Amino acid sequence: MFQRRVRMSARRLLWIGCLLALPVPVLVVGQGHVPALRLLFMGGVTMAVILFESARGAAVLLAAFLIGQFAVYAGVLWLVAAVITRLAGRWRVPAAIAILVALFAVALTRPIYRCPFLPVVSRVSLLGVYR
Amino acid sequence: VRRAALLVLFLLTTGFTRTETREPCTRTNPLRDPYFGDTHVHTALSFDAAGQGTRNRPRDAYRFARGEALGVQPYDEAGVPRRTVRLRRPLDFAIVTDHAELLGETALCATPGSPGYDSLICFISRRWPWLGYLIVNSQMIDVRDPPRYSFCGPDGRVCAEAAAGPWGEIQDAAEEAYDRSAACRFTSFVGFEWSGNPESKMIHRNVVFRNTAVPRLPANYIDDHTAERLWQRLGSECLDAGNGCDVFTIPHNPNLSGGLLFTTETNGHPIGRADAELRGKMEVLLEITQHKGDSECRLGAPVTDELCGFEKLPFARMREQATFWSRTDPPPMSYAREILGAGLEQASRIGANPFKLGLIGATDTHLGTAGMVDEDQFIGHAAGISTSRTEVPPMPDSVVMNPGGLAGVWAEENSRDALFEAMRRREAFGTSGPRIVVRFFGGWDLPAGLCDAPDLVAQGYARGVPMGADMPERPDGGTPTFAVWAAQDPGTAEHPGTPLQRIQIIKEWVENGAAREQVFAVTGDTASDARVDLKTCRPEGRGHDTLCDVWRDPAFDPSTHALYYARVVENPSCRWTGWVCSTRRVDCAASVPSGLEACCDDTVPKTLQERAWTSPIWYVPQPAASRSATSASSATSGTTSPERTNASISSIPPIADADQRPHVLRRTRLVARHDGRGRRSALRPSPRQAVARRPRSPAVAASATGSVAARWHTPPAAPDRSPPGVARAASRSSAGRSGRGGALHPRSRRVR
Repeated sequence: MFQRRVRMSARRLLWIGCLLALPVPVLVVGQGHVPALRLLFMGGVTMAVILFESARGAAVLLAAFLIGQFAVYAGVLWLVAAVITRLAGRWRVPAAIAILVALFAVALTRPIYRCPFLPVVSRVSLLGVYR
Repeated sequence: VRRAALLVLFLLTTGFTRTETREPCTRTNPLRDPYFGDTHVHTALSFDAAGQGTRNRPRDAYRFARGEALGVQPYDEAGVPRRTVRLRRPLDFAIVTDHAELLGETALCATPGSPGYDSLICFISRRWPWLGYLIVNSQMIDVRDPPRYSFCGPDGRVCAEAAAGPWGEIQDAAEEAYDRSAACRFTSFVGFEWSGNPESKMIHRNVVFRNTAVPRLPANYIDDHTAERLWQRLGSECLDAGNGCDVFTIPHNPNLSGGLLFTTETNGHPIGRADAELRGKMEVLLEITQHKGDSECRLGAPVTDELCGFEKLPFARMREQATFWSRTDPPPMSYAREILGAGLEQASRIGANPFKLGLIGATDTHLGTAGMVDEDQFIGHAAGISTSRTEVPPMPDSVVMNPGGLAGVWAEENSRDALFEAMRRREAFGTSGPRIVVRFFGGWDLPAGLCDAPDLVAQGYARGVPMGADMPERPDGGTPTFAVWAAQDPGTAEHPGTPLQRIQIIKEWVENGAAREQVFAVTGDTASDARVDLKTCRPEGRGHDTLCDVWRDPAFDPSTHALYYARVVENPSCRWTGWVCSTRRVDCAASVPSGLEACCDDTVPKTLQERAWTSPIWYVPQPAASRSATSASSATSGTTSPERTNASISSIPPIADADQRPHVLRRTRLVARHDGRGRRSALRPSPRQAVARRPRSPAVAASATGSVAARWHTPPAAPDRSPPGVARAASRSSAGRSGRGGALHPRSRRVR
């Protein structure tokens, strides 16, 4: 039971960290690489416009593309996190933490994202994405 | 004496009416000069251009059109543009046609303190412009009845009134750019684009005003959902306003209209004579090419015109650019030839042609870069690529886009009144970019030797009609004869133009109530050896810098409506994709740089054949003759056969085959040859060539057509070496007559 909880905690930690910081390709609605959570955020903003401005037509399709992509990436990353934690065995928690530390260290210091949604520069670090 | 009398009569009965206060132009030509311009230009006032990062405004677009350098996105954080562009040759005229839809909203979203500035959609548009662009654009291009945003108020009045600001800016910019001095260097028009997109089917129309008398606000699709309502509004607020306001509309992109741009129904009823006449009055030109593809003709059955494959988009609606899994073929009425043919059908049915359209080209730039059509200068359309706002992409745009074309207008002088009237009478032609100059006259007694005549143009006007007009009344036994003359774009000293390859005439007519079409090879090389070295983009092979011919319809039926237009085709040259791959030295055997994968994709064309299209000349049968001839025809041939009516073009029996060749009078002239390495060795450099090679040569041979012919000499007769079946075009007859023409022998002359 305890083992399972630890494994789940490590998997969730890794999954959430990847959703927050791992650059994934933007498909159809732009060109670039952004964290999956960014796609969900943009999809939510689009949904808000649809609700508040009674937007119709392809705006709904746009929101579906953004949220749909997030859902796909979320599923894939969940599986990836599961594989990593299973392979890491008893070192799953340190392994997850090590991966996330490395990921965030790179994400915060280097412009590894190419964000199509920003007004001026597209290549930014994680702070630039969520600025 | 007769010729002189006809010319005097022509000069007395033509000309234009001046409706504005300005100095008369120093340079005027009653026989008209060609002026090149761009009738479709967007700036930051358009919601989709602003969403793409465009910051250039109407004044900037006009500055650019006049030859000044212009910065374009991406901009750095200090607001400095990272790209600067400039036309190699200034334009003669331009029209800024920003989208009338959301004109007020776009202005409000950018003005702190205005109503709406703090609204959600404005916040998104400023903070995440690409997302804002997608949201706003997806709504505008997809909804039959797009609503105003909530900040516009319950009746949308706030935003409608806010459009007055940018509308005033458009007018002021046009006025400042217009050269009212006697030099007449540049002409601008006030205009806008009415942009309807029901279910993502584009029914866009550019609206062009003659002078400074314009409506208080531009009409827009949000308030007026149909073209008929647009015309009614333009009628009430402009034509009937009694203030000198005059206007016409230029529809574009029938290839993306889902067949809705031109319909043969009005409010669910078959189009009537009054509707047809209204359309004919309001819509005189069709934009046949622009960034978003060519709209001349459909590639594939039933048409077998291989040149129809030029710059075709692989989708039928803008939405399908993204939803690639649901792409469809363009339905009927998506191409100019189908539309013009439908016009003939309607003319036969109701006695008025609703689709009597001249042909022009334009860019539709959303960067404010009016007339930037050179393939090697293409920097994108700026309404569809997410990265161009923030970085310079390796491929400036989707590979299916293109740099667009230009409008050529035959006018007496470079002024608003002269150009407006020329466009209204459809004496205009479109090019896919190069400044090819083409004259096209139709008449009943144009002499076979007209190409050699020193007064080709004067005779053309005196004895016939120019492009865009109806044939004069038919004399007994008359057969339509056409004179077509074209000169290649001379280009500039550093970037010379590409030689011409051939001229074709496309005929459409009505047979058993259905439109038919046929392509005739008239002159030039249908089996040219010209090609392009893709490594250097250097053209190779021979070509012509002028071509001329007098052509007689070999299968004229005086009882049916018909039209004829000419297509002038250049030798192959590098397409913009070819230029990008050549400039970046992409080696497909080695690793291909990211973003340039298209360079090694064989399905992406790297070369093209630039071209020009004249406006058609229409033949309208005289009622009595039509009735009697039709009944006689039906009685003798039983032409009610549905098989015949529905037959593909390739199945049409040959109309003019070898034994009918005397119908065709061909005169082809090779003035300069190409040495196979892209260099031109002028066999007989003429003063006109020298003039035409000056960097600014809008009126390339300006009155060239009138004077150049005078310098032509009658070449010696040459044996017929026409290889059969070379130009298959859409007709066996044209194939039978196609040949290498003057390319084989300079100064060759063939009269068959």
